[in-house]
Amino acid sequence: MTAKQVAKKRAATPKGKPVRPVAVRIRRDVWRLSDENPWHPIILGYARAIARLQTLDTGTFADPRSWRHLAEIHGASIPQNQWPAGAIWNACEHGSWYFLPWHRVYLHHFEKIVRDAVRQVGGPASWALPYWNYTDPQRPQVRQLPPAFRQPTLPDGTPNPLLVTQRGPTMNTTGQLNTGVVSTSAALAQAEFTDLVGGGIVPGFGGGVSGRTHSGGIPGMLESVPHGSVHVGVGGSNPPGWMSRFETAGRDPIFWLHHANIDRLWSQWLRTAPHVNPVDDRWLRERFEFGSAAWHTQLATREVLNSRTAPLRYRYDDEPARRAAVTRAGRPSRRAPERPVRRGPPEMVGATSEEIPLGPEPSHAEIDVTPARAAGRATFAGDRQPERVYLKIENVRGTELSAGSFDVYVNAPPDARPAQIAAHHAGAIGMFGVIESSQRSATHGGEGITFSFDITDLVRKLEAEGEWDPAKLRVTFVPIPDSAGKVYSGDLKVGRVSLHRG
Amino acid sequence: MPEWWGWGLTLAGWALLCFGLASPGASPEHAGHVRGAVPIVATSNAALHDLSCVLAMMVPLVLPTLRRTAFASLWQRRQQAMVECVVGYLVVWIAIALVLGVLTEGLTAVSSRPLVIGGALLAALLWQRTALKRQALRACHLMLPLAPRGWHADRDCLRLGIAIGANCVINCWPLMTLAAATGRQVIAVLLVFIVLVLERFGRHAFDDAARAFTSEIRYATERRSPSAGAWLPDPS
Repeated sequence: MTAKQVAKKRAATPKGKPVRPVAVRIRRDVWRLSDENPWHPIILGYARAIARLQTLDTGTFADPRSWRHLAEIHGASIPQNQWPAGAIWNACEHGSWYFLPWHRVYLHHFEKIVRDAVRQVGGPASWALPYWNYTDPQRPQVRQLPPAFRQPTLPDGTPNPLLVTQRGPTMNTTGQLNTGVVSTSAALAQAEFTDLVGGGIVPGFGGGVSGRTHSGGIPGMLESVPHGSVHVGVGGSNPPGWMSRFETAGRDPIFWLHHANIDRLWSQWLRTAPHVNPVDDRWLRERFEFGSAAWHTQLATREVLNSRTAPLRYRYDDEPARRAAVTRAGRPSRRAPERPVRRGPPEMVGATSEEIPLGPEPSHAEIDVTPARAAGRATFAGDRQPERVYLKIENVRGTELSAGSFDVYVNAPPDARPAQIAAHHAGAIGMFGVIESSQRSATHGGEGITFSFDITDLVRKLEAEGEWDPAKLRVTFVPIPDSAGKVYSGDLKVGRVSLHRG
Repeated sequence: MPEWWGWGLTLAGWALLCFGLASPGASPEHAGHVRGAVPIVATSNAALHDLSCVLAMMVPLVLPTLRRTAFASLWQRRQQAMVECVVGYLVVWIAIALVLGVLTEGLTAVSSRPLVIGGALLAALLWQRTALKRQALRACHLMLPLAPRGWHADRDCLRLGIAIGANCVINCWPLMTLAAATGRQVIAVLLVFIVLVLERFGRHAFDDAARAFTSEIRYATERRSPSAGAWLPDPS
């Protein structure tokens, strides 16, 4: 519909009833759809569309709509000298503040192609990618894969493309993700999207300021848990299934529903004041490119911040129907609230000297802490901010995972059980991407992944309870079992644990 | 900005190059002649010239690593950590720069300078497309765990500098050869430097540097302004 046609139609519409030229599609909760009907038309349409796209998996996967082509965009398992001409593969953004916008554009590109395939197989015209909300304490069953993703056949008896065997033990039967794996509380509690001061210490919601990076930077809290932990929770840690590796994750149909949920959590975070997106041009202007020819998508971050407007035109079913509530928070307002800005990153006040192995048993690290030189945060406004405390888990490397995620505790008694030390819980770290980022390649430096937690509130609480020694810090890593309740021997190591104040 | 002196080293390198204080001669051809005629003076002058090129071109590339090294170190050894890191980095680069200088001058002596420049340019273009070059470029941003104190900390910082320097050499050697083949003429050094910066830090590199300086100036101004209240401890 042209602008002229829209204007004409608007003129013919009774006053007070504005025309909406293009409907906003609704991405719906796959478990609620499944409760209505395990083969709800939206789920069945997705399955049949995938089967259709998989028929395009021929030769070098040159067709930009082919299932394998779409998956290789995220991480390429095919050597670069065998890529089809013009392929933009192995491009996923992790450990970066581009993690969320890159994946939003990736989902949009995917959704366009799948919607067309859904239409071809006679699925719903209003089809939109559903999401997998695995975090709902009222519905523990949602930590299982939705039923349609575990069935061997479609209702008509043909093979079900939603089922892949390369998943963690029991995930295709009765296995559930661990509650720690699906927790969103730490991510949603982040006050800032990113750490504009740099230094890679303050974690933020969406990732550290960086250039384009396939992995190896500082992941935001959302990227670590639940994003990374769910990846490895579904794929399994030993051996790692498709969802556990960058190179294969996109081949599992649940990948896309998982990322729709991560995208939904971004919108959810923005609906809570005073959360805002970065207003930095480096972030807003960065462009992401996918596909080729008739199926080519190229969008900048600033073009996808409001999902309800073109070109995206979708919302999640748990968002208010009225537009203003989301767009006001999601818009890259130039009038973002003035915040105190530190001049430099927090000061490192202690660190380990040796590597810490992360095996099937709890691991411990002890740090001698020195007093911080500069108390409080110096700001441009000239005032002092309350001191914050950060725990950094640096250079996590390995080729074989002992667990998909680890809980991290501060000053926990050495031999206590996890249930007894919940009050010492600092956060969790997901191992998604650790194997890839430990290897030296054109996209990975080989230094592994680094995580960071703001443990200020925990430290205040431990201080109040007399369990905080300003000169000593004890950090404990406890592996989170997989869906079968197992942990494994592996070769994971933490390069260093450090404490930062400021 | 704890790495402020790194900017100083860079400016010193450019000053030496631009004002001819470290020039091996009026022209590349003359340089070769001077080296042969007055060996000790010419050699030391050429070495100073090579050193100034390394300072001007290579120190800026390691400044982000120095900054990260400082923030990953205890306050009392921030400067020491950065110095150890830059020493490891420069040892690698100075050795390579001297070798490249001798090599290109030798090749020029047995063939012709345009031929050597052309060969270096071709090598640089071909090298840009290799997987090894891309790996090295990515590894130039490497950050290794650093022990907090003692000789372990000294070793780790030195090792980080050497590792970054080695990756940087693998990444940049053809372009540095090209600069050396021109006799490290200032304009050639400048062009190669711009390519290196854009390649290493992306198209926002110069914006980011400007932003960092603006931020420093703003902080320094507001920190001392009466409206800002009492002076604050310098946290850098």
